[in-house]
Amino acid sequence: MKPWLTLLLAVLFFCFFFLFSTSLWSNLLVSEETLFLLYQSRALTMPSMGGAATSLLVYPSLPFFGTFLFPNPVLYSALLGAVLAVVVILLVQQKVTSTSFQVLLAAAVLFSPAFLVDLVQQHVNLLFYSLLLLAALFLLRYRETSGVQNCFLMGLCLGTAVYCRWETWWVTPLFLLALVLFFREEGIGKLGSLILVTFFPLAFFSGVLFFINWVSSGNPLFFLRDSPFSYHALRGSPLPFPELHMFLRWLRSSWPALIPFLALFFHDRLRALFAAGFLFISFWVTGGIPLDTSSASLTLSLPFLFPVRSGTFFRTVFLILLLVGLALGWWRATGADSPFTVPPDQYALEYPAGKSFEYHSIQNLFPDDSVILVIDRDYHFLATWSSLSHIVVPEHRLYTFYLFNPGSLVDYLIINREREPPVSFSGFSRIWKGRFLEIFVNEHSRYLHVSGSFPFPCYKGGKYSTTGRG
Amino acid sequence: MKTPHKHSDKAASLKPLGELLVEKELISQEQLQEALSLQQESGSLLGEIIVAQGWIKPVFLYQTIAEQTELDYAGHELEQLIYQVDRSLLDRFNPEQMSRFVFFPLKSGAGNIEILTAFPNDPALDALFNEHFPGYSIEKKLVTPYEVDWLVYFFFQDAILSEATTGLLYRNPAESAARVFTGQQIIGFFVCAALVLSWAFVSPRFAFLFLFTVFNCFYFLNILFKFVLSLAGAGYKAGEHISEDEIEGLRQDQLPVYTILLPLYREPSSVVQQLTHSIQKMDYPLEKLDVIYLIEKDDRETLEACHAARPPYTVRFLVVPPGLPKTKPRACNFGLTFARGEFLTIFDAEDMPEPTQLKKAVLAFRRHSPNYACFQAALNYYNHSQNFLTRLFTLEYSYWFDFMLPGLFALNLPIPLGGTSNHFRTTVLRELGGWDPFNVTEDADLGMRASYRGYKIGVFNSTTYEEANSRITNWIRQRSRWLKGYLQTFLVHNRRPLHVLGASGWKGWFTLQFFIGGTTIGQAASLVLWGLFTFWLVTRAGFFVPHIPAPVLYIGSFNLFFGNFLGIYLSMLAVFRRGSYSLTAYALLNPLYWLLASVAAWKAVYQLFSRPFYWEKTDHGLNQQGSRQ
Repeated sequence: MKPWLTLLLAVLFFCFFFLFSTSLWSNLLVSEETLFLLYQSRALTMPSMGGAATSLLVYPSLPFFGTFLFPNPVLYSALLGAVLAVVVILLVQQKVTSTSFQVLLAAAVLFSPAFLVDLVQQHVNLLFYSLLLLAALFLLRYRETSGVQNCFLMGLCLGTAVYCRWETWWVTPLFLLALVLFFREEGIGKLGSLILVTFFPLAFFSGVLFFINWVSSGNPLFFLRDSPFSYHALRGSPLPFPELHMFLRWLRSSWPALIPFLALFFHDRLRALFAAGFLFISFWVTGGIPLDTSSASLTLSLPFLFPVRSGTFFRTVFLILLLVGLALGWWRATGADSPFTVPPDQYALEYPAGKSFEYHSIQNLFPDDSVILVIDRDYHFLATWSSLSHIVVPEHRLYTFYLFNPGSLVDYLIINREREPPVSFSGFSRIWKGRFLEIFVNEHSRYLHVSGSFPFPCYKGGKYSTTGRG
Repeated sequence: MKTPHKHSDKAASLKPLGELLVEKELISQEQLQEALSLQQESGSLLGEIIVAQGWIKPVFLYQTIAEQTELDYAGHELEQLIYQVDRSLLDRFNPEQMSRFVFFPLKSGAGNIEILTAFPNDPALDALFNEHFPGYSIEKKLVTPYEVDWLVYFFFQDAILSEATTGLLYRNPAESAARVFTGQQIIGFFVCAALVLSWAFVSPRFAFLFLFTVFNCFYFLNILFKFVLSLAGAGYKAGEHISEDEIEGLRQDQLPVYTILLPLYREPSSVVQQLTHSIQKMDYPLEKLDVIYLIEKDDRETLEACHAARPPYTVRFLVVPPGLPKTKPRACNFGLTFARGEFLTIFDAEDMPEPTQLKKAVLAFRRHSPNYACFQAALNYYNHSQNFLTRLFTLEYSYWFDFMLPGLFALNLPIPLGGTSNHFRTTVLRELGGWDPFNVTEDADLGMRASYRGYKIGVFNSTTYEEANSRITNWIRQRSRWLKGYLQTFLVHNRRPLHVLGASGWKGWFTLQFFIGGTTIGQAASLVLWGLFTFWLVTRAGFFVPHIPAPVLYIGSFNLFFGNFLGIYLSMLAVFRRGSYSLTAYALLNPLYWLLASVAAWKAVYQLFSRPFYWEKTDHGLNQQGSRQ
């Protein structure tokens, strides 16, 4: 493809994804993880939050740096989407000769509801599975061409995937099996070296992760268990052997996303048939995706794993399944209980999206320079607030100081209703109660006298109202 | 060593040379048949083939030719003839012409010139004299090519030596490393040092931070540059790919004369034996090889070892007169004057080139425009499994020659040539002024110089196996020389940065800064940065970490983690591609090797000031394996 055409397509897709992303963001239809990363990228570099060194602890690191570079989430999604779109189009071009089929295949992937929703709401997953799929693609290419640059890129993709999801380690047996099956006849020396070449980046990058966590906390697995800067730790398991539990939880929700990797073991036509059947299932299953699935990878796997040599019959079958699947997917996506159609107030009843909505809904009601102490571990929902400079959260350097001297330092308290506050707050009175949060005001605060009343939306009997205090 | 040409009518009517040689029992009938068969393939002169095969000494051949052609053989009376040499006639030619056309002008009379030549029937020689002396008759006497060399050497050694040593310096002082620093560079250096030191005095923390930032930014760009190069190189099938079929299809009679320069100094006899064996194994018509052993005047041991190795008669020994700087490029420049080949290459004493390398080089040159001045073959080591050091050295070399240089080629960037096995067009090499004898990595400098003059350098898929240094002290000596040479090259070409920018564009300019400068500076700085990192890791001293701005911290972390990763991983991949699977795991130990390189880099910096032209000789023959399997 000519460079100017590639650029033009990238710009067009960027615009499209930008518009789509804006529409979902305006209704706060985003995942908690996205908000978590957005908050970290906005807050962590502030001196009061530990500065730049702390930001190295944020996990998942790779998407965090994306968010850090492009703090506007809509812009970030659109950029990521545009890059992926170009990759998909280039791959399709390489694998399919017919122009009409190229267009259909690329369009089916890029306009599928699963891909679009994941792009905005679950871009960490999208990035993770894209990297794994690219690793699979380069493995297949290495097998076909013996070009060592494919090994290099395979290792790099597999290695960097661990900065999106530590579960990358659980996918390695699939790759190991593929290596053994593909190269078992080439001697133990080559196979051993190839295994080293494939998994060294993963081991090295994991080592870096462990090292950074060990340096900062003394525990290399800090990011999996206790780190306030890790989304995994935040939503980790309180059970013994939390990693195992988290793995099982991940496997339960993500097992369909691993199926494309089985296509590695098939040759050409079988792989085409496998991919075709899989496409159909993916559209059917993912039409009404909930936010915690990673089903976009099913769709995304098509151009990655689609074989170059496939007969007319398979292409026809593929095309029919593609169109039917896409129609079904959109039919389901625009039906009831879909992220495209669920009204925000209904949607907000679910945790954690509800909590996110609750944080979002109160943001404009505090005076600009008021000091707000947040006693809640989920403070990352503050990500959508326009200013974070007067907010004191648990990771603030002087948090304890504020916590024990609220009367003289704090104007408002935001407290998680589900947990008892560590200290009592005399001199504060509750002015608002939501489903997840409560707000208290300092009775001696200058703002109490200025504002007079607090027309906050309050949670009453399954609905939010703005009629008065809770 | 001439390509076939038509004999004169007189010569044609004479008895064939082969029959004469058989009659005189200098060769057997079988040898004659074999020689004729070889002649059919290569189109070379019969006499050359017979001499190259070692069946007869050149002097007997030329005596026989003298009988056949009724010309006088003057080889016996050279010592008397030198008194008859007409100096004014001699001045009309230069030594390169004499070597190339294998003649020596003796004297001139009224409308008559007397010359000594090994190829009396060469039309090119006649054309040369017709051009210089139209209407003159040429009287020819026979001598062997070796006797022509002797005469040229006898009369021109001082001039050749002077040209070899100071030619580049006088013609183009800006391109010579004879002066290490220019005035502007010294002033710039002192101004920068004064600024940083005074800043460090006023505010040590910020001065430290500034230096830390500068180094990290430099490292960062260096890593990115090498990453892009490696990616391009990894996908480029190690440069210009010449297939076996193409080699098979190459007609022997179309092969040109190929000069091989072999600078030797204090080489053990085993190394010389091995070298001679490698030359004989080359897949190239022996009579078309013009091999020159360059031996320093004070190195009698190597000269004796060369004689003892009994190389074929196509090998010439050339004793380089004493002088300073006593460097390999000076010897090579000296040898360049005597080169007769259309193409020329250099091998080191311990080199074992792949036998097809010369043919591949010829094909590479033919595939590309005359703008390509040189093609570089890959270098690797045959004794890689000797010890820990040789393993890591092999990893590094594989990465450099299989990824980096092909990457430069793929991206059309200037290529600093590596040690040996660089194959030149001889005319272009002469036009460039040969090597800079004051630069201890003359090859890298030459590659850059050629690029800045508009020539291109290529790489191709052939390997020369060398002996990896197996002793740490010897290794540091060699490495410090290389790094010192890179610093010299960096300084020389940065004398006129705008000229470099104009000649090669941004890409060429960046190559100079990151590939040449970045290599030494990066290796020297790594010891400091690793030291700081270790200090911080052990003490967790927070006196500078919290004050590092976010971007610098990210860049520093990227350098520390990704830079090290990339170095390890790419060298791992390089040996993997070569099929040296037993070495892949050793790539994990690369950081130890880099520390060693850092020590060498500091030694190089020190020597740049103390002994800039000193050639740290690398000892060869330390391997225990003897030869490549």
